[in-house]
Amino acid sequence: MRIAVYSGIIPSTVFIEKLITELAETGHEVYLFGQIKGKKPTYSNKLIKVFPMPGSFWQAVFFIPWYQFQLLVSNPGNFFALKKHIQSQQSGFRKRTRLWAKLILPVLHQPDVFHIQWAKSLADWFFLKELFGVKLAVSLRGSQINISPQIEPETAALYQGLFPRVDGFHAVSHAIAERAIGLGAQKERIQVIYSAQKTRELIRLNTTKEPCRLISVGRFHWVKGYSLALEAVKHLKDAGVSLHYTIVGKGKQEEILLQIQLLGLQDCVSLQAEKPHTEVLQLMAESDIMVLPSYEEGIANVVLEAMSMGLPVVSSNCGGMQEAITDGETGFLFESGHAQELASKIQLCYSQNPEIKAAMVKKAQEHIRNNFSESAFKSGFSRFYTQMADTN
Amino acid sequence: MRIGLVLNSVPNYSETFLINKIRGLQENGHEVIVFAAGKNAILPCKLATPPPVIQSRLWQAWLLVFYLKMLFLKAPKNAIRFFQLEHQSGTPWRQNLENMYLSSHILSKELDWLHFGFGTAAIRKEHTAKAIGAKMAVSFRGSDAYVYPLSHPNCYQKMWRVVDKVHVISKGLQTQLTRLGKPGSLDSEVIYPAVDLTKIPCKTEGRWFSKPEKQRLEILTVARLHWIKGLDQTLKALSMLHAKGLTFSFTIIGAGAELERLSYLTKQYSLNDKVVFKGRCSPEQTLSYYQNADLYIQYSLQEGFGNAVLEAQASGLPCIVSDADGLQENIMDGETGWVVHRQHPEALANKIEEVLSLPHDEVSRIVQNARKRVESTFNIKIQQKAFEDFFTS
Repeated sequence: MRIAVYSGIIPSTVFIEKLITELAETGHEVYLFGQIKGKKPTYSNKLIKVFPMPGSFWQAVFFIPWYQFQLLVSNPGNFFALKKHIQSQQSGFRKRTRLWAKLILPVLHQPDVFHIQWAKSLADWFFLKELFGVKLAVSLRGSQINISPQIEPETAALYQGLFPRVDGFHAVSHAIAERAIGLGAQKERIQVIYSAQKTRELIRLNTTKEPCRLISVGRFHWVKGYSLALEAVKHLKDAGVSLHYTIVGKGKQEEILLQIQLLGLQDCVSLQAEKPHTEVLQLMAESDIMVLPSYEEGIANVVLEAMSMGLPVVSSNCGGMQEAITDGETGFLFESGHAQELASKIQLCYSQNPEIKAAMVKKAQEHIRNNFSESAFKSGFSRFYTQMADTN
Repeated sequence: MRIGLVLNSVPNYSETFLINKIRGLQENGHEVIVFAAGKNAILPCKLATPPPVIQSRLWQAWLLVFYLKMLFLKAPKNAIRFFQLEHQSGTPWRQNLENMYLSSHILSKELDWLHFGFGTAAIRKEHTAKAIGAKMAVSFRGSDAYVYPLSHPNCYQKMWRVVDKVHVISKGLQTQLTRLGKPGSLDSEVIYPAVDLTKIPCKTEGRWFSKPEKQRLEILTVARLHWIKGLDQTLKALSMLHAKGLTFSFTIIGAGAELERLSYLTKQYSLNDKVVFKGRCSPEQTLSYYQNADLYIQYSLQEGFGNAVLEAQASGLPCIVSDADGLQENIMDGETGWVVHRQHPEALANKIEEVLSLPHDEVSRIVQNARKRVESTFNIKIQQKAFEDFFTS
C-alpha cells in the first residue's frame, strides 16, 4: 500500500520520523508531503519517497504549472475536480496559489491512505476522501487531543464534526483513545498501537548513595510540569535530601530559570538544551531516577525508554502513563499536579532497598518488552491499514 | 532640547505612562521624536520607524545596502563615527554594518538626548547616541531586567560602558541592575511610575467589605497572561479558598500566551464558573472593573513596579500583592495593602481569608492610606518634574 504521512513539515518531530522509518520496514511505500524545514533528509529505505511542497509563494508560482501539467495529462478528471475544489475554497490569485501548492502533490501521487499526524489540520484534507476516495487516518497524540478540546470549545466542535467521518485512528495509548471516543470517534475504528522500544541492556544502578540524580527529558513547556518538579526538589532539599536534578529539552527556559533563582536551587538543578538522542540516552544511563511531572501526556516515550533501560521512573498518573507503569510495581505514579506527593514518591523510590529496586526495574523492562515491542508495532500498523482499506 | 525616545514598538492606547511622559517633556518646551516600529495612531509627536527586518536573506542584503546608501548620503559623518565606535569595541565588520542598519533611522537625526525606553531597546544600538553626538539614557522597567537577561546573560555589558544615565522605576530594579553587572560608578535614578488621579474615580463605599450581607466577592487582577505574573499560583490559592466554601468570582484582564495553561488549570481546579478571562480591555473599561471589584490581587513572581496596582489603589480597591521587588515599594504591608511571600499559594489563600475577616473600618483605613500615598508619592506632576530634571541636571 502507499501510505502518505503528513505532518506539515519535513523532517518532522522525532517520534514521527521514527514512525516513518518503521512503517517503511513493514513493507509499505511511505510518501512524505510537506514543506522542507532546514536540511532535506535522506532516507536509506527506498520505500520512503519525499515530495516537498513549494515553500514560498514564488516557488509555488514556479513549480505549480509543472505539477498541474502532470496531473492534467495523467488524470484530467482529478485535475478539474481539484481545480473546482480550490476555487470553492479560496478567492484571489495569491491565496489560490498557496492552496494549490499545498494540495496538488497528494492528488497527483494518490496514496491509498493519507495519514495525518496532527488532528487540527484534519479539516483541510477531507476533500481527499470525498473527491478522490483516499482513506483518511489520524494519529491521536499530544496536546491537540489532550488539552485543546478541553479548553477551546471551537476545537471540540471541530473534532465532533469531523471525527465520525475519519476512516481510522491510531492512538498512542488507551487513555487517549477514550478521549477521542468522547469527541465522536467510532470505537471500532481506533487502534491502540504503542510506540516500539528497542531491547536495551539494563544499566547499572547506582550503589553509592549520594547525591540522588534525577532527570527529566522533554521540551520546556508548561504541560511538562517542570515547575511542579522544582517545587518537589525544593521540598526534598529542605528535608535534607542530597540531590541533583537535570532537565534536558528544547524551548524557552526563562520561567524555569527564574523559579530556580527564587527557590534558591541554583546548586542542585541544571538545565540542558536539546541534544542528539544518543547523548540523551547516555545522560539517562548516568541518572538514578527519571521524573515525568507532566500535566498531560498521550504516553511519554522517554518513560518507555527509561523503563527499557532499567532506569526507575516516577511519573504523574496523567493520560496513558498508567498503561506503562503500575504504581509500586514497575515504577511510581503520583497524582498529576501535586508537588508534595511527587516529592514523597521520589524519596520512596530513592530509599528503596536495592534488591526490591532491582526487581522493580527488571519487571518494568519485561513489561516494555512484552507490550511495546517492535513486532507488536509492525503488526499493529499492518492490521490498521489493511482494516482501513476494507472499510467503506 | 531635542529628545529621541527609542521603543520596540509604537505604544498602544493602554501604555499611558509613555504618552504622559512625552506630554510632560513637550510642556517643558522640549522637542520629542519617537523611534519605534508601527503606525502613529496616538502619539502627540513625530515618529521615525526602523528599517525592516525580513526572512529572505537576499532581500535583507539588498535592503541593507539601500538603507546604508541613504544614510551615507544624509549623514555621512554619523555613519562613519558609528562604524569607528563599533570597530573600536571589537565588533566584526559584518555585524557592525548590521547594527548600523538597525540604527539607520536614528543616525540621520540630530538630538541632544537619546533615551531608550527599555533596556532591551538599546541592545545593538549602544553606540548610536555617541555617533550622533547625543547623550544616552536608558530606562529599565521590569521584564528587560528580570526576564531577558535570564536567557541572555551579559546582554548589558556593552551598554554599561557607554550609557550616561539610567532610569529605573523602583529601588528593587536598581538592585537588580547591580546584579546584572552595572558598575557602582554609574548612577541610576529612581523615578516611580505615576497615575493621573483626576482621571481615576475613587470608590470607598459599596464594596463587599461595607455590606452587611457578605455575598459574592469580586476579585480582580490586571496583567498580561505571562508566566511571570504568577496567575497559576493565584488560581491555586483560589482553589484552596473554593474548597473552604468561599463564594467569589475572579476576573483577569489581559491577553497573552499563557491562556491555554490558565484555562487548563481553571478546569483542573473546578473553577470554570468562577474565573473569567476578559482579554485585553481599553483603559476606560479597565477603570470600570476597578470600580466594581472588591479585592485586587497581583501575585507576580517578579515585577518592576506594577502600574496596575497603582491604578487599583487610586480606585480605592484593597490590594494584596506578592513580595516581588517592585511590589514591595508599591504597597506598604499592613499600611496601604498587604504583601505576601511569592510562590506560596497557601500563604496567599490565608492572607485573603485574613483580610476578609478584618472589620470594615480597618479595611477602609488601609484603602484611604493607599489613595493618599498614591496622591503624595506617585503623582503625575512629580513624575513629569522628575523627568524634566532627569534630562536637564
